[in-house]
Amino acid sequence: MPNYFKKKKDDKEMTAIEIQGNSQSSYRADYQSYIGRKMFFIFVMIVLIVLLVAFIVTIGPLNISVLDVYRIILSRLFPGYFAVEGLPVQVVWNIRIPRIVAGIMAGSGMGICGCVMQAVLKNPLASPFTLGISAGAGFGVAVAAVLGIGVIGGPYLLVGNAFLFAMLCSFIIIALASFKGATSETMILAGIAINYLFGSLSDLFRYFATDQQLRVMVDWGMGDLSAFSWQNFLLLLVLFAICVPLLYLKANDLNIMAVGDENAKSLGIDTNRVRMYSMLVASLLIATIVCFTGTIAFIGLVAPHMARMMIGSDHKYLFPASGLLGAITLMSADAVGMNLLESVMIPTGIMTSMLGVPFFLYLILKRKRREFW
Amino acid sequence: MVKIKIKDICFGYSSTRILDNLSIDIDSSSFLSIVGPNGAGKSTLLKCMNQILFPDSGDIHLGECNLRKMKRMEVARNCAYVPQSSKRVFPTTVFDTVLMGRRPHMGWLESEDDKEKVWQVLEEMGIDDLALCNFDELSGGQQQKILVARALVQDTGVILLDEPTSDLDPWHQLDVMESVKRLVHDREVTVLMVVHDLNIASKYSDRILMLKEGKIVAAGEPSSVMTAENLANVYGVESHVYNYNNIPYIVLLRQLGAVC
Repeated sequence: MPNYFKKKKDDKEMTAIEIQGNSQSSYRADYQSYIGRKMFFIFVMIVLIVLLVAFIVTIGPLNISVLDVYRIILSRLFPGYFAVEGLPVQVVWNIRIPRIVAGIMAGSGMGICGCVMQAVLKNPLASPFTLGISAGAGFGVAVAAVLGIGVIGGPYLLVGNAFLFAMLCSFIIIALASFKGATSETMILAGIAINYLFGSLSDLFRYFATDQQLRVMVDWGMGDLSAFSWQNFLLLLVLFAICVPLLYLKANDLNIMAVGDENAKSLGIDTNRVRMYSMLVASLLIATIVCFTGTIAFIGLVAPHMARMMIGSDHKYLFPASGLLGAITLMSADAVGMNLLESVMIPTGIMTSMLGVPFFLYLILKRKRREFW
Repeated sequence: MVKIKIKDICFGYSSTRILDNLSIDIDSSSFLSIVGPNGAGKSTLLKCMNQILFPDSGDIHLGECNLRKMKRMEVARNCAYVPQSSKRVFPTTVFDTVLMGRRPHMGWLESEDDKEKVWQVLEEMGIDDLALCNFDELSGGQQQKILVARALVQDTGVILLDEPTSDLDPWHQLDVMESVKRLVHDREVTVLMVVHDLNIASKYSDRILMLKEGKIVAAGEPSSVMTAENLANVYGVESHVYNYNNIPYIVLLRQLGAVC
């Protein structure tokens, strides 16, 4: 006997279950697309860097096409397959590309380190600059410029001193903090104190410096990428290859630490240890970058905020996004600074702030309740 | 199922003693409320049980394990903590907040299994529609449920709740408490809850621990602890205690002299 009622009832039940199932899977689908959008943003940033590199290399007195740029890069990476010789090769490979690589590495390193420091210190104003690491490096340069004293002589006198004092500064902050239990508040206060101390010591040296010595200190303090060459590329690459994965390993712990130490401890995180570890690794990377580039304050502070506004606070995505945005900002600002005026090159540090601040203010004013992307 | 044994624990900040030789055994799969006036040491006791604070002396055993000999991650695999509130510097989504509860069980990255557990709990609690919302933009009641969800995905035998209903309206108070009560029954979890609302404590707890100045004044079933004498002694208030279905309900009448 056909049982229409039963059939109808089953249909109704199925529909109800289907509706519930569909709504459940729609939330999951929303989440998948949310993660997909973050990945897509990172992918777009990588593509943008590749395109920017080719475009920026072509800017300058010597006319080179984008196609030539790629041909020269490929000829150097795969000699034998792409044979290109002459003046354009020298200009692209020995002058323009190293500067762009420096911009990418320094910008991404500053972005990542700023992101780590803001997370472990739970403070949106934390950056290598506000914590005094740049001030330490600046003092190292002052010692080298005025007294001529340095750990390494010759062309690396400034760089060596900047690195040594940047690391010294980080160690003092970490040591001071470890006495009081390495809380974020102690680290920030110690950082600010060190910033003032090394800042005033640099001022003292500046006060007694000759015009020539003063020029060296001022040039370094404004930030510039010209100290970078293929010789020190390997050193930076090795440090990147070590420090960035070490920091990325803590991405989940940094997510948790952002909700407070008590919460993090209850979820099994040794907050003080993670804080010391992250600060130490980030300091090593940032000291290596700052000693070559000088003080470029803007990137470490703002690149993580720009990335956070775009794709949220999950450090698994925030790390690469901060690095990529830092790289794009620094590379673009340097290119503008190099080519804006015909006879004068505007220092990178100045251009970075001048171009980055309006964009950052736009993001703040246009910010939606959720992230942009 | 985890039985808890607290033996002679003392804790203090410089000259102030917060917990004073406190000892109690807590049955597995039971619901214990900790009540007492401000500064009695209730939250400190919870924090000592989760290695957020370390007692000056005494021992706490989770099952057979001495808490002092356990690593922090091991404690987090056995004992979840739901704070009173969770303020954050940078915004996080509800899904990411709940996913944090899987940290003690995962490596450096979460697996698909971890994410599936989060979805299951969100769906069980009927809050999966909030998954992509910003945690800070939710109401107090919703935030509290999400923190309970985080404790659930932590998959522990013990859950510690620090004043989970303090900022909630009556509807949300009952909503959160019903969720917690279901936990004890369905998942056989041992729950310790610090609470100021004496009627909530009476209605939902299997046992109540009443503290004053870091010492136990009374411990036992709600009907034996929630007496007018105990309330006068501990809180310095005069009260009427009514019994309804063997659950004591307290009506506070007036203060007795100065604050305790």
